Amino acid sequence: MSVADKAKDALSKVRSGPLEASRTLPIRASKDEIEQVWTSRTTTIFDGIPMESATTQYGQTVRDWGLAVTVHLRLKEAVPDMAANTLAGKAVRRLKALVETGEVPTTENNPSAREDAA
Amino acid sequence: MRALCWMGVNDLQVNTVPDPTIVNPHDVVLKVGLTTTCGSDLHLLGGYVPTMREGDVIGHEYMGEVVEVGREVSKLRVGDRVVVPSFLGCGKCWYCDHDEYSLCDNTHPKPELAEPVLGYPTGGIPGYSHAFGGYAGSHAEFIRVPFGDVNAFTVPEGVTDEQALFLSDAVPTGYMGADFADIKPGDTVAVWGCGGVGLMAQKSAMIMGAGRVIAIDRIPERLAMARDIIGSETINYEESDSVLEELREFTHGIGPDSCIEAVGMEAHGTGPQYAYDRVKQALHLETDRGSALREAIMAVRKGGTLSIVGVYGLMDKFPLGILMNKGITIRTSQQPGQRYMPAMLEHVQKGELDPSFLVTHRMSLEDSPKGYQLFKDKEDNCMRAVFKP
Repeated sequence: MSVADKAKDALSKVRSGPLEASRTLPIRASKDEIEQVWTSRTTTIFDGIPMESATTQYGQTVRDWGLAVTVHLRLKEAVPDMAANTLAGKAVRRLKALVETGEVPTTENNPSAREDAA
Repeated sequence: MRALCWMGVNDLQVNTVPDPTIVNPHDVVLKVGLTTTCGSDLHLLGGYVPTMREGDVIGHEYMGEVVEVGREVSKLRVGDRVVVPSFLGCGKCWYCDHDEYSLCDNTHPKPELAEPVLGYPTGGIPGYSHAFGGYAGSHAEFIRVPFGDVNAFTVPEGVTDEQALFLSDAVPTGYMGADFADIKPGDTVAVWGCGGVGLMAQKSAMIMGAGRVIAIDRIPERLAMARDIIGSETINYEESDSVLEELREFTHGIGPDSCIEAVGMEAHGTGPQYAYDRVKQALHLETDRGSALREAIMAVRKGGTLSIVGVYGLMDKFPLGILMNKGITIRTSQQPGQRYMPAMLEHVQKGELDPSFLVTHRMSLEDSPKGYQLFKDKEDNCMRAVFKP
């Protein structure tokens, strides 16, 4: 088997992870404020995430950290193991940033010496 | 615009890149006034910090002038002269609310790169790899600063550009180091490192009430700065039979009350342990050479405090047992400069703290690769090379 074929064989054996994942973060806002952002900013929250469906679940208020919010994510297709958790984490972090600051941190239009720079 | 770009390990080039623009409503864009080399940049140059990409603009210690503001910016105005701490805060999350701006939850665009390594992402920082956010750095004509009202501090009249510049990183890192050392009036504080941060840590320790400050390094010119400008007592570890024994003597057998480690992962040293670290680092089996840190751990008195401001990755043979058996308190963090800025500005205005002596080399951005070579090799007594784009 050539080196390239061995590499392909190894990659094909990377276990596909679950289609669903969840992540929780505290968000410093009321449930109504969070819901308002959740329903109106879906495009921003799931930009780049192959999401089939997503829901939120509200837990308790954790001292001065905020209201615990869990994003449950169902993906369109399986991704490598652990990536589903990462994508759910990205979604809940974007929700948190949008609610708490009104914006999502970004490197859009980031200057660089690469051809893909803005 | 022109910008200094990381093009590979030990390969810096000035290239023409797109200008930054306002992207988010709280952004400001600065025309960079001055920007400087920092010791932690050497870890980027040397390839010890993963997730650098060819073409990244580097630089994270800077000051400048506001040239554009986002629609939600309310405090800053075009024309304001400002200094920006390296790590970015949002001003709204739990961490920023508790003055832990470098731990901000909402300024890291790529938390998925930081989480596997750190557990949780830090705040973002410009010019310091994609694992720390991926923002373009300050060695450029212009830079975008997210949450300008939170992060960009107006520089008052009477504070020069060169003084303000170091309030971005070297001063707050050293100041934090001294703050973390829990200095009581009259305490003896030992500081490893006489680079920019170490010197600022020494000065800050004096401001905070240390009775004696003892600086450890190997470069004679830097030890002279510590003695002559800061007023520290000094030990040259290459000339000393034993730094530990000298510190023991200095402190009547007690040991320093606090030790501040301001050297980081590329420490030089002597002996078999240092040789071991060099070999393993060269083979990429560890990222850190921990000579200075291990020595500080051994030197600090029982029940004392170790304040770590050097930058580290992964270290072999970390003497956890010494810490435990001696009852040492460790404090460490990336600097939350926003927390300390009002106090630092006041110290500068009162003449109690003047970091401008750190500028040993001034040059244009076009000459910045040469500046980094001088800085890295410590040639021509280079302490900091400062670039004016």
